[in-house]
Amino acid sequence: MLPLLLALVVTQTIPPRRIAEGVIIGRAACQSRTWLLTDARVLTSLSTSGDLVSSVPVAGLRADDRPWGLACLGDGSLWTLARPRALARLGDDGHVMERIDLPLPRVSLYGAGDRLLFQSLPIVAGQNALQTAAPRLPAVPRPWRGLTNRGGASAEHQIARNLVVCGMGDGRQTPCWFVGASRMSVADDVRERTVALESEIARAAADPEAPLHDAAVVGDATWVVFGGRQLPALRLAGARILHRSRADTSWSAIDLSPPARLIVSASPTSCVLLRTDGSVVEVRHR
Amino acid sequence: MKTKSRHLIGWAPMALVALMVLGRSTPAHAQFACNENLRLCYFRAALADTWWQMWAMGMDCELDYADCTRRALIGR
Repeated sequence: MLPLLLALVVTQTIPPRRIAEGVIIGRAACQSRTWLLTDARVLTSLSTSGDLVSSVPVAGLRADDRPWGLACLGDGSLWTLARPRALARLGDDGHVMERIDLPLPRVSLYGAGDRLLFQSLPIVAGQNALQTAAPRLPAVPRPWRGLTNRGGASAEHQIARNLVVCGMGDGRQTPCWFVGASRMSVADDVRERTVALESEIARAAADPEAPLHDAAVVGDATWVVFGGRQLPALRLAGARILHRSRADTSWSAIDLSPPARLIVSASPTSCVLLRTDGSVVEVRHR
Repeated sequence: MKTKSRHLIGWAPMALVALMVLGRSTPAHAQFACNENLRLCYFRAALADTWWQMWAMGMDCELDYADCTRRALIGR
């Protein structure tokens, strides 16, 4: 089925500005705010409409820490991986409030309700790719339904093809996918469903290394952003956004120019995106 | 010094074999630097004094590789 090209409307709501400079290594949404963590160790918070609320340097990490990921839990606490074997809780002011050693190294971190959602090494083919655990009970993980690790021709192939990305959930369900995959798993603690996007990806000529750039699931609606390479740095960015609700038989789609860095917030009928030039747009489904 | 040299020479064939085996993997477009760094890291790990040190260094190599790859493909 051809995607519906006229059902989505893009409106710029905030003009270009300098925001979240560097590489965004973590995004978390909770309590009406979206938090961004960059590789420059800056913690930025945006309102659901994309307005800048705060931007503070992260203080209290060690010089040789390599932070990655950002999770916001149901109690409003913010967590990041200070390094693969250490979890850090961040205050709103960017200070490290707590540091917890991890029994196994983690390579990704997201939030799922009141539990952290993460991926650990070693990656074992046939096992659940993701697990959840309470932040202060890292030695008591539970498997997360959906993605299952795949085998690889070599150690690096196995790692690269099994790295997981998660998008924005609605507190009950979270969309996740393997970085080079064309299918997305939407799961909670109990149920899981697969969203197949092969034909839409082929039609959009999305980047083959990372075709799925971002996603949000809100109730019965799904937003998906396809990846493409943006000059001059050739960083991946979202070149096309799709929308579908359970009642729809096909996807609505619209191209994004400038492309999107990520989803700031989403509702069943609208999606707010931060673009590569710092502007914010709202995509509405008519 | 002579003992150290003999020790290094003893490990060199194993390190070369490791390089040849790993070199069969085809690097993806955006991960070429990550793959090269991993191979160099494995080479250094193969020169460790004990098997346990080699294993631990190898695990750190894979963590660095995961970090390199996710920054290239997942960072926004």
